[in-house]
Amino acid sequence: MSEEKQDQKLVIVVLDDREILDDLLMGFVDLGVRGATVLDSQGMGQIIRQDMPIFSGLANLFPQTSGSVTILSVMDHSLVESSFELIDEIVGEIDRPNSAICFSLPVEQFRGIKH
Amino acid sequence: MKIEPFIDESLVQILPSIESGSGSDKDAFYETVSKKIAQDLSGLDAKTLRDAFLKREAISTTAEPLGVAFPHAVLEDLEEIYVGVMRVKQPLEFGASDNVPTDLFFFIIGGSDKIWQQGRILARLGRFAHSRDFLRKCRKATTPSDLFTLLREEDLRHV
Repeated sequence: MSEEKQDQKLVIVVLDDREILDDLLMGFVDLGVRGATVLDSQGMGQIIRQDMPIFSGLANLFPQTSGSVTILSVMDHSLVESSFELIDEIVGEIDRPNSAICFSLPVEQFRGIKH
Repeated sequence: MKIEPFIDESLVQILPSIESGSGSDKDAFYETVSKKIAQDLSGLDAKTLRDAFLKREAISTTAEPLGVAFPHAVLEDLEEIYVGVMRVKQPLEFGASDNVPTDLFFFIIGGSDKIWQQGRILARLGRFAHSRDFLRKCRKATTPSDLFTLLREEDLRHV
C-alpha cells in the first residue's frame, strides 16, 4: 500500500433527515471536500416494518423512518476530523433516534479522479 | 475554510436607500456598489466589476430566501479574493424565490484562477446565512464595524 493511499479515508454518513442534506454538502464544500456520492437509502428497520408483516407486532423494535440518504466521500485524512465536527454541528444530538450515523474507513485501493 | 483573511473593510458597509429610477433594483444596486468598491479597492474598475456581477446574475439570481443574496464577481487577472457583507436600509427586489426583498448582501470578488476557493467561501457564507440569529444581528447592526465583527464572530463559530 502506498503512503498516498494510507492518507485517504472513506467517510460514510447516513442521514435520516433529508432536510439537512444541503447543509451538509454545503459544509463539505466549505471544508474543502471536493466530491461525494449521495444515494437514496433505506434502513433495515424501515424495510422490516413495511415488507415483513410477521414483525408487525414488534414494530416498535425499529424506529419509523421515511428513508434516508447515504453520503460516501473519499477524502484526505486531514479533512476527516473537521468533517465529523461539521456533522456534529449540523445534526446536533447524533445519538438520538432518526438522526444520523457516520463513520470512516481507511482506503486501501483507489482508482478514478483524485482531487 | 475560514474567510477572515479575505474580509475587506471596503466590502463591509451599510448603505442608504438605493434609488432605482426607471431601471431595476438590481441594476441600480450593482451600479452603486461597483462604484463604491472600485473607489476603495485599487486596481478594480467599476464598469468591469458591475458587468461581472450582472453576468453572474444573468445566469440565475444570487438572491436566496430570507432577504439574503450572494453577489459574486469573477474577474480575469485578479490575484486576490475579497469578501464582505453589505446591508441596505431599504430592501431591494432581487428575485428571491420567496419574493422577500433583499437587504443583506454577502459579497465575493475573486480571480478566475481561484474558482474553487470562491466556491468554498460561497458555501461558508451560505452556512452563515442559515442562522436566523446571525441574520437578525446583521440587520440590527448600525455601523460597518458592527457588521465586520459579526462576520468575524460567525466565522469563528463554525468548523
